Amino acid sequence: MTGDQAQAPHDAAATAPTARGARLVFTGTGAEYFRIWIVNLLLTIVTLGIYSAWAKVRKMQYFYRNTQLDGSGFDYHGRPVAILKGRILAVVLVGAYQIAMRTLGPLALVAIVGLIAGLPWLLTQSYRFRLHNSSYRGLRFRFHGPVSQAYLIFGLPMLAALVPGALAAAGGIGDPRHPDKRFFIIVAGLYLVLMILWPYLHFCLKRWQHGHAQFGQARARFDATAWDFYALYLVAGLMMLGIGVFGAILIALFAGASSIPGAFRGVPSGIFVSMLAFYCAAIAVGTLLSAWIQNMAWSSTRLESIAISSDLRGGRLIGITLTNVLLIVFSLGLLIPFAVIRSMKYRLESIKVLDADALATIGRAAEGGPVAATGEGAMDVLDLDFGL
Amino acid sequence: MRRPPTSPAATVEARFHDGLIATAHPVTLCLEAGGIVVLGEGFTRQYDWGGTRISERLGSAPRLLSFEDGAFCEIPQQAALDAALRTAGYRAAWGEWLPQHWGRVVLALALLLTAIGATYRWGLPLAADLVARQIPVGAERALGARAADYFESQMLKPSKLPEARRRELQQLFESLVPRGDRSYRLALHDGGPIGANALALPGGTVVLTDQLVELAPDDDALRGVLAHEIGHVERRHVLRQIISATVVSAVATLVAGDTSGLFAALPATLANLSYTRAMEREADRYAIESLKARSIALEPFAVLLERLQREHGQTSVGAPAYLSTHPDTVERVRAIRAAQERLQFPSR
Repeated sequence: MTGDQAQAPHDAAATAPTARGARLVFTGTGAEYFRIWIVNLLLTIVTLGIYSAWAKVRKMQYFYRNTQLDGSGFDYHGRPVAILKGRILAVVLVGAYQIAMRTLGPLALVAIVGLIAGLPWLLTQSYRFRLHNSSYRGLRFRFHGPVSQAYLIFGLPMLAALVPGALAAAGGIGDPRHPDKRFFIIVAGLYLVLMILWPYLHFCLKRWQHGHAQFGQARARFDATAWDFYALYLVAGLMMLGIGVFGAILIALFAGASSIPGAFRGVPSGIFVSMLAFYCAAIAVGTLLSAWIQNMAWSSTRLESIAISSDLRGGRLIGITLTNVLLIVFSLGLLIPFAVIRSMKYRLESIKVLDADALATIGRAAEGGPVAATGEGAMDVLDLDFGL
Repeated sequence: MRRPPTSPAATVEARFHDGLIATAHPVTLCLEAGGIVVLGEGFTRQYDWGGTRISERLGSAPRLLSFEDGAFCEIPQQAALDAALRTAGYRAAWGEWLPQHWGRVVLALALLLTAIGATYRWGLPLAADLVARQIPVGAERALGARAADYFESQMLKPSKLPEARRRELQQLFESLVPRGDRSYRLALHDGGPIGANALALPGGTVVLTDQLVELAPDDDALRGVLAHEIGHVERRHVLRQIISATVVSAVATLVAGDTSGLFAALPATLANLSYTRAMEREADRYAIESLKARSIALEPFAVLLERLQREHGQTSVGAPAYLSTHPDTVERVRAIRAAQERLQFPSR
């Protein structure tokens, strides 16, 4: 049995309509996770944060082992000590950055440049750590997304977030005491470019994450195009615009009736309600967009020739998201574990592997292969929990 | 590694994976004293307990027996395995043992709330104080200098008080500065949007607005206010606040880490507000000591506080930084007057 490493099938028959599909099944429950969560928090606080690395491993193992595909669970192999080192580094970096930024001097500029240079690399290492320590049926996942793409994906948004501050810190050009046209042109231009490129960057992120993953010896492929992302963003944008126009009409109507008693602290209650409704609508559209993108990204991902699909329903996800917010707010955070499990269960169980029999023939990646050489050395360095 | 089970063999259904290919084999495990026998369809394997790792129990998630050769078994049924492991002398770690019964979880929750409460009430101020002592005043000045510059130039306009009066106030301020410390500076400004106000910026700059000077019944009242602000600087309040806010937001991130930043920011903001109150009381105590040491009456300071409360109570639109964090002005005035009385009784 040990010698019969089958090659992943390349023939088209592997994903023929007769293939046996398997859906992810999540067996974790809110009540169980609540118990683990409370104990993890207690031990973390009692040990002044040191236990958080062990707590993270326990949490991940609970999530992974309760995620079943075709009767077998996933597993998480991260070592607590490696995670602890990553966390200590993160705390030191964040502390140094905070101190540097508060000085507003040349040190702040150094911190910003350091951040732009370092963070994409850290994010890559962190994501690699995550995948290298994930397994299914005893076979590890791998990630070999190039760092250069991380600089494109994360660099531009970071630049847009940091440049105004950097210019201000450099003095002169961004000094609010002497408003400078050039400053506003640079910042506005940067944001405009970022807005136009955002769907493309999102596409790059998903292509980077999905397209450079590997399970055992089977490499993943990502077939979506940037236009798919632009189309979804366009529809979501048009929906927001429609809601905005509708909301503005509502507000105008209610504002006209502001003299009617029932005004709320000088602000007409109509406007107050409209704003709240508009805010909820924005959350709903954002959730809808994330559902569409999950469906599209997973349905465009294949493991060799094994197709994957995702059939998240936007309405259901909006319902879960909004009730989760209420659950967390009204329990003062105590029911966070229930909210987390609910949305995780729904998101995971929408994903289906279309050929479970082909999946079972995937073998382990050869030792000393290109992945092991690039990944293993660095993978113990960091796990920073950026929640990619 | 683990002691072998001493009871007769227990059998458990499991799925066997060889670690080489993603195929799951349904097998029967015989957990015997001498080792583990894996009975599969057409194959049998035998392992020692010594080289076998037993995964911890996580709710009802399948448990794993991982063998030395990279193969492992996934066992969905907990009960049969538990029975075998119990006799094997398997000992759960704290973090594994605690979540297994609701009683322990409730106990853990009670301990958690106690720990958070105690840390917040005593641990955090103490830690902030210890850390603040390690950071040199020079570094704090560097932190605050640009911020102070910006605040003074953007928010405030130059004072409209006559030159002579300003000089008087500077002298008054210098008489209150401890040990003739050179880092202190009094900045007189027209309050503008912040009205009658006084505040301490990190690094020793104390801002006093014209409106507050005019509101004061006499110079002793101003001495009280200035001593209070010097108290903030002396006790390193800005730095301590930054430190404790950082710790609180770190804990909040731990708690809400699974959700989003939306919920993480809230407790940190609350912590900020409440710490300021404790610090106000500390600054008041400093002011009382400082005035007593110079034989200055405390009553005018109390009167000024009351006037300030009335002033800002009427025009709540501005940014009454001096008052927004002082909802307990009545209590503060009472404390100052009590200190005044204690001062007077011995002299009678």
